[in-house]
Amino acid sequence: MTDILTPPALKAPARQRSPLWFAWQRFLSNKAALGGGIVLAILILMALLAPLITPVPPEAQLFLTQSLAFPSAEHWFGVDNLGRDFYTRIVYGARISLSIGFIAAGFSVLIGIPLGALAGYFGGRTDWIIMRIIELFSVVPPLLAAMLLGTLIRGGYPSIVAIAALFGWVQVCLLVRAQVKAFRDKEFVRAAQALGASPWYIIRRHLIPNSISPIIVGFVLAIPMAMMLEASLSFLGIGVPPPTPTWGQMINEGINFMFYYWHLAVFPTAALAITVLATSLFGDGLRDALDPTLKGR
Amino acid sequence: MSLVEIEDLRVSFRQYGGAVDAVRGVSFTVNEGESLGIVGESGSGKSVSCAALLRLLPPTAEVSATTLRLDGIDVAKAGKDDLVRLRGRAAAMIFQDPMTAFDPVFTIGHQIAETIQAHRNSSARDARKEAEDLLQRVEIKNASDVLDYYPHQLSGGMLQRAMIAMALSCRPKVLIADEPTTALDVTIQAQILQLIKKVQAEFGMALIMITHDLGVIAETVDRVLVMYRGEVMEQGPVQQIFDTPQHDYTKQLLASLHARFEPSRGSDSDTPALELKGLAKAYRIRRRRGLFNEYVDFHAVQEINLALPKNRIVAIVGESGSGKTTTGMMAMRLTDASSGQILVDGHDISNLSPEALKPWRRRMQVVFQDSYSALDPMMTLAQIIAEPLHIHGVGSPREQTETALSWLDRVGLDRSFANRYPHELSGGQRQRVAIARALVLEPTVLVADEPTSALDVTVKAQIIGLLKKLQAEMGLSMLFISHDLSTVKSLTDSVVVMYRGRVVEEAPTERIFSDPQHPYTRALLEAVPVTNPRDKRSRNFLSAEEIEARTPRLTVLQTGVAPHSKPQLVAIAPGHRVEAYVTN
Amino acid sequence: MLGFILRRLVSVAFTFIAVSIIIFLMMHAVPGGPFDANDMPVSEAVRAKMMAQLGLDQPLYVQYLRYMWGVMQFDFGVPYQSPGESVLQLLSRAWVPSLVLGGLGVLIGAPLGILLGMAAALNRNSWIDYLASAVATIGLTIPVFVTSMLLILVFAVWLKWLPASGWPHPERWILPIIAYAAIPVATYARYTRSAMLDTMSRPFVTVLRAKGLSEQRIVFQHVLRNSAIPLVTVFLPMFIGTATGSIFVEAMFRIPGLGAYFVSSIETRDYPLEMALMLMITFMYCIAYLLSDIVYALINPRIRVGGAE
Repeated sequence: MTDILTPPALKAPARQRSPLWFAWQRFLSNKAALGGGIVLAILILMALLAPLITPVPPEAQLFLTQSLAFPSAEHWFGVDNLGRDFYTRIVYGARISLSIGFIAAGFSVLIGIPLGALAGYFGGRTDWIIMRIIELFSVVPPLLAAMLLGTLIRGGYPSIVAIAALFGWVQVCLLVRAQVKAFRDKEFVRAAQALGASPWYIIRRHLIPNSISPIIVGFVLAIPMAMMLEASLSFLGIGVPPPTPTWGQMINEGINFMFYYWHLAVFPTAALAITVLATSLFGDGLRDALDPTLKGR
Repeated sequence: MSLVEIEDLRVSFRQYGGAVDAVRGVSFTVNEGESLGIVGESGSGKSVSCAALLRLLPPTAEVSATTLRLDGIDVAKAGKDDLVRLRGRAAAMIFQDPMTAFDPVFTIGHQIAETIQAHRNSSARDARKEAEDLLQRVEIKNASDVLDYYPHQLSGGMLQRAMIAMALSCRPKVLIADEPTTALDVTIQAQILQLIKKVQAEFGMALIMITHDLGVIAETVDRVLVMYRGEVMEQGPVQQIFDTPQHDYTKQLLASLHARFEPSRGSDSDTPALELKGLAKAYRIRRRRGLFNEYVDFHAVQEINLALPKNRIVAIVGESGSGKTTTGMMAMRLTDASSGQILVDGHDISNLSPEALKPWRRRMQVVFQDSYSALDPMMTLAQIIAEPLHIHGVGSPREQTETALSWLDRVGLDRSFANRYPHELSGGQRQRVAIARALVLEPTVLVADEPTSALDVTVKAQIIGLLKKLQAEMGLSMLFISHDLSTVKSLTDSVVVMYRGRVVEEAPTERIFSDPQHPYTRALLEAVPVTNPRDKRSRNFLSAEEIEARTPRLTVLQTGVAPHSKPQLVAIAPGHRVEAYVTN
Repeated sequence: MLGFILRRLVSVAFTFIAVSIIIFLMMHAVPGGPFDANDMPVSEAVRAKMMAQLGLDQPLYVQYLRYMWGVMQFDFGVPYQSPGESVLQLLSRAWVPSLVLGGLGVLIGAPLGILLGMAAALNRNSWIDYLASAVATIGLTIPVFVTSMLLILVFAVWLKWLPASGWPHPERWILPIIAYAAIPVATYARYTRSAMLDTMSRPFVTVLRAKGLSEQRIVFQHVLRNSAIPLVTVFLPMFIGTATGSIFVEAMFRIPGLGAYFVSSIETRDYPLEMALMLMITFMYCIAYLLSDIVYALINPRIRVGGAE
């Protein structure tokens, strides 16, 4: 009788594998995601080390005599119509694409987290207002609105980042809101309330740390969105203006040459496709690994 | 030949980096018409064994057995046609949660008729007619209406009845009930158990009752199998298991049914530690009326008066929807009350602002039901226990950690747990941490909201023991909210019975169990499963109307209060109040 | 039910009005407006006269109300790039290729995607599952102009099987239709797969198995019916994706459709046309949302029947 009511102090069991370990295992077993992650890492390195990889500057018309030359040992991706080494331009294009992707995703997260946390925690009127704002974004296709904004504020790097963040935060906000809503009524939050903790304390100390998975996922998935937006706008000639090398712009120029000088169309198209695909696969894999219940949404 | 023959059944689930053995070498048989109970805690492999019998396990499960036969068919080798015969006709199953067991987009009638048609050549009309008969046999009164209801339109108890009707539709030879009443209230549980016994006799089926609750076993079966960690500890006739258990684990299980504690000492002070005066909660329910909304007040809790004396344990009992948890949350000021006062040590805290309330929060704390979500998964145990000190700025961070460590000792956990995360703990260990967090500020009032309902039987007894020990040491006044009457009986000093948002009876614990006055209290006590198969009996159940109709009628002379057309709480003995009609 | 529809209608109307105000303000907040001193050098007097003629000297809210009043009578003004006709005439002309090609893309793509998703869900971790995932990821992440470009490069430039551009010859529709179909195929492959897997993991499916239903019946009656509910709601985002993609598909394949005019209206700062296109597209989405909400309510008994208690 007494022995079951007063057991000896329980010793801590051997270390259990954490949910993070299982998430990591799930991620490793997802070959597509792993591949995407590796490709993305290589692309980031290429973008960072661009000046070391290619000795010539991307805007210098050093090879005018060889304009439109096909790929060769000297010029891996050939030379463009203005006599610039095309490989160099593709590599530097990665800088634009990736940096816009990461910066815009960063801003999306900065806007999305507080709004999502507010909507999720307080619910009621706050939630209603934020959800109505999101509804406005849902009836306007982001690309069309971005194009409109792009013409109105006349392109350029900062405005592209701003536009991408403007449409990127919605996703992050919804993810964070859903997570906070699910955790708001958890008993550890109620316990903190019973201790007299302020809403701000609870959001900062409990709800945001517990939303870290959706935040990471939201961040990574916002990157290809922003890259796509930049490429699309640059493709239409309202993105980052030339001579700065961007893939969207190069694809647009490539169309005019595609039947004869195919390399001008193939390489930027492939570069953009590979980058966006790798980032998405990596993001999808992260999402599946961090939250198996969200799979494929 | 036995209906069910299982020999050396082993089931393991593949996982990253290895396999988890859920069942390790289980053997048992069930004969025609026999009732077998399988009792065990979560993770004991009791449900997995029966799912293996119908090949219902997910593909990640690896099953092996020397013999695995159901109605003469080798389950492991069963083809498509054999499976159809096994499932539904040889054995039918009832599941734990009736709310998720039906397909939400089809009507109840469709789902029963479909089962009939899957096994027999029957016209749609005949199948529907038969479904209606079956619903009547499981004592659903408006069976013809229920046929056209969607699952979401029925209550849990009604759905479980419909589930039983569906299981019966193919005249199975054995009915497997997997925790059929765990998700239901006590009174509904008793009704469903009685129904299962009735239909078992009527249809001449065998029964396998899977449960963690020894009371359910005592009520329903002839023979018992005790399982622990995937192995059979012992098996035998039910009376023998209860009277002369052989195995230590069985003894522990039974001991947890009969825990007893010293009554709390009380205090000389007349001021209650916590007093609720006319506390009420009404929700505005929005009903859609065309374009406009119509608001209706739903009274979750009607003006309730309750006093928790110092150094005492008072229970609030009632079923889901009785308002007991809402009352506890209002007392903690976690839910806003619509009206009324909350007095802590004589001071009204019901209208204080969050800032003004903060010092009072140190005096009153809460322990919740679900130990899974009670702890922040991102914090270590030391951080969790020290958090209250941190919020209230008590001591330096070092002192806070030191206090947290000493509390680990106090709740029976080794200090080596300090840097662990909640996911590394078992349910009982997590609840210990939750208790430490609630008590680290040394409050005077503790609200315990179903603190053990999610725990296994033996662990439950340990946690109750810990709560009682700490209560006595600290002189805590505890409001113990529970639907578990056996725990209430052993632990508390007095009991408040709530029914549909009202207090219907209130008395010292001993008195309420020996001399209940209100028909609802009686119904509640009547429904409690017996603790020994010898005491099992057939029961009568009261409908809500019958409970209202049998409300006691007292005269002004007996009570000394003015007559009223509505029932009111009147004192009939010292400390004993009951809801009654008072007439001249 | 009627109340539900009316409430949604009101909500959608508010959204539409809010968006129209935002777009209107955005257009008019641009410094200079259509008579930018650089883009269109005219004298001060002429400028003032033209502004008055077009009502541009009025306060913004008057301009907005006047514009919306016109819109309600299908008067969207005159496009700058083709002053001989009204915006409405231009649009009704441009409508045809977009509708034909986009419609065919959706009609072919959606069923294909559903079949692919079903096959993937029923054969988890098989080659078809991986194929479905690959198609879904590629279709949803790679911009449409990239897909179009790859199609042209492979089939028109390299293999020379199909012509790269053109309208109105039907044999020239094949590549653009494939490009259009990419998004519906991808969306439905992904959502059908996840909706079905989600349904199949719910407890009632175990109950259906336990009562001896055949696997076909479980999948085709119960799982599909339950999965259809979320699929209806996805139809919309998919449609948005297809419509947005039309701009690029039309630009790549040189099809004189709505998207092509959208691009040219942006290049030439053709405000009446831009405004009309944005309003129409927003309006279509509002209506589509409304419809899918209604269909969702109709097929979901929880909303249709309501609670009995």
